[in-house]
Amino acid sequence: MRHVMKCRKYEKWISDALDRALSERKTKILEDHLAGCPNCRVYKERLSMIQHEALRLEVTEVPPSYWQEFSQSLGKKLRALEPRKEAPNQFRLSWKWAWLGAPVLLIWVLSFIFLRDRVQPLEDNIFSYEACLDRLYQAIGDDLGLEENFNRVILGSLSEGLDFATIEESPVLSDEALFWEDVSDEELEFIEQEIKKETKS
Amino acid sequence: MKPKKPLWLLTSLLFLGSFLLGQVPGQKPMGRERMRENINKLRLLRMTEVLELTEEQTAKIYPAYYRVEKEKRGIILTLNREISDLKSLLAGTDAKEDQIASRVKTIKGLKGDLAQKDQEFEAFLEKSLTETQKAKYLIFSVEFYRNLGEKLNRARVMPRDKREN
Repeated sequence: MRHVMKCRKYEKWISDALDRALSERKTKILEDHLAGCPNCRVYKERLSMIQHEALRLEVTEVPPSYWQEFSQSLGKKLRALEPRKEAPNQFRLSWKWAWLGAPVLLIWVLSFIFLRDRVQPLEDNIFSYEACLDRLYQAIGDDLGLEENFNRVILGSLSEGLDFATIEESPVLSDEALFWEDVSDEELEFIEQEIKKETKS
Repeated sequence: MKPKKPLWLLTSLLFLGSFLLGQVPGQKPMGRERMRENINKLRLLRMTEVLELTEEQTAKIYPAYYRVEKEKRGIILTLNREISDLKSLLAGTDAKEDQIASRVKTIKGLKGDLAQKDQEFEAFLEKSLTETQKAKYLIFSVEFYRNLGEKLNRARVMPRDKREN
């Protein structure tokens, strides 16, 4: 392990030596090391060969438009990376404006509390008289016979409550002078029709 | 021996009957209308008994009840007309979605108005009753509705009128 660590250090020195950037003292130490280390000698030979081949390569002439395109393409890639980098800032910005939603939320909560007390009982109140009558009408449906019978039972309870033996004994509205004054022609016609029906049966 | 009903109660109920017949010109008090009137009378009679309303309370509550019932009758007439129109609209072939939606909205609004009238009367009642009477009224409401159900069951087993067969 220690040997490997040492060789890593000399690999860097080899690269510097080939570039003629190594001090005299280090060059001497490197040469002593190379004399005893076959791995580093192989590494120096390979690196030297690569450098030699690289120097033989022709330098390609690049037109000025290439660098312009290169710079534009690089700019694009950098801009594409920008949102990811700035995402935390945008999040902070949205919280900064979040207070605008507070009045809306407050109105919603108040409406809910206010309407819950006013509207819901209309629909769900088990004590609602109209709801009760609705259920009753639904139970009767279009059954005219049942409707008539039910009406008789109600009239029976009414006459009981008013201490009349039968509903026939109850005060007759037609005996009231004021009653006839309020009756319209249509109602008179209706009464006449009803009397005719009763007489027929 | 059952106690005799006070004269003011009988007069009030008699007045209720003539009021309902006389105040809605052109409206035939037939079938369901008549049934509703009778249920109203019975409700008022039972309420007076159960809550042991005084003459002063009756003098305040009855007119309020008549007024609310009269307004409700007006709403019911409109509601019936609207429902009938909606039926015709749906039976036709050229019914437009917005026309149907408008009718449905009106009907729902009227149903809400009807329930609102009940609440209006109950709010008035709250102001006019003592705490004990308020409690009695709650129990009375539930029992009256249940009693109507029992009456309906009795009506079911009763022999049908020959005219209906």
